[in-house]
Amino acid sequence: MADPMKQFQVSKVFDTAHPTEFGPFDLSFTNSALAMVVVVALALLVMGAAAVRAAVVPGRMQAVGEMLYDMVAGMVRENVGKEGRPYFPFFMALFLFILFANVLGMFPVFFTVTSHVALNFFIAMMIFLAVTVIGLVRHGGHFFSLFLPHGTPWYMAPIIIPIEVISYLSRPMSLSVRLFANMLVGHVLLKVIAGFVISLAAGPIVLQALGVLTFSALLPIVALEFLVAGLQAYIFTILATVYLHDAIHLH
Amino acid sequence: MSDPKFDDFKHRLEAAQNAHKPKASKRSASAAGMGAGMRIAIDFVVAVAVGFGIGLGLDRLLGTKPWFMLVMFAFGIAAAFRNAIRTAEKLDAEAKARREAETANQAAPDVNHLPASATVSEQGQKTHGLGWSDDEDDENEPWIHESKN
Repeated sequence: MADPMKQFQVSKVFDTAHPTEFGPFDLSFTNSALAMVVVVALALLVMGAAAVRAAVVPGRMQAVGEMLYDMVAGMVRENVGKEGRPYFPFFMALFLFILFANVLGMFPVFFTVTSHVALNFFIAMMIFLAVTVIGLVRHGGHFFSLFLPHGTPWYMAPIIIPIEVISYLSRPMSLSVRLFANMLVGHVLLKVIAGFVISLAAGPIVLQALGVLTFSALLPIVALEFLVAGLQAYIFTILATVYLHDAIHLH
Repeated sequence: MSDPKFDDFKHRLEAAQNAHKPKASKRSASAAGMGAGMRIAIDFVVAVAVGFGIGLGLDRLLGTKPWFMLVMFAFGIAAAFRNAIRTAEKLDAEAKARREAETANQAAPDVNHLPASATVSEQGQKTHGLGWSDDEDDENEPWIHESKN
């Protein structure tokens, strides 16, 4: 049976003679990097096609583009409010990148970049640091009142503050782990069940019939995974907007 | 209005629009529920792990093995529960608001209702173009209205 984890292996695309190590870092162009380039290129292509022939009555591509735009605009508007407007382009880019990475990852042979915590944690950490800096710049020292909710009695502070700090620091972790876990689990599940199908097909006729049954069970799982791909992109973006809201409005 | 031809058209239009209304499909609801459950579970585990990690780090820094680890582990568990309760409350409130909006919709079927984007502009406000204009101070601009749904 094929190794279900093999699909997540990062490998070099070009084996160049040049050394690609810079200090402790290996900066080779990997299949993960290639997948990201394709994701960004495709996202640009789709949104470009949506904008290139802008009409009052939108065509097919424009309708898709406007729907995505409206969705992210609605998220930012509802969760951050008016102050979130300057940050909208970032959230749009974030949503498109994760959405395209997740959905493209559903296609065979395409590398699922979001199934690696390294990338997700990098994105989440970027959001976390940016949001913290935005909060500090806007509110100065008052920002730390985020860690002591209103109406907390003073004697509770020694307990509440560590709890709130841990819960704040766990944000980038939970943000990245959620996306990574969802994508990893779905892909492993599909691979394992598909492995069953292959194994059963090699057996006697009774097992082959069972294999057909297993194969038909794959279909709803694939549909579910497409749903998860969209849902996780949505959740990642909406939580990022919620974090920005907390930094701007402090509760 | 009294023209029977138009009355008939109105009924047919209503029927056609009702047929297109999203029927809150069970399948996507259960998938969203699974997502919410997964979210709470992962938040829980991560908060405990982060507390534990901070404790280990402090211990290594200060050479106070195992005290910070134990204390921060306990705080991590507390933070996990706090997160879980907060998320659950928020999801509850969201579900309640959605249910209320749905019943309100059924009571007064909105002729301009767009089936696909029920969340964007519910109160009959039409978003012009793509939702925001360049004029920041326009009070009628949809951006300013915080539609809580």
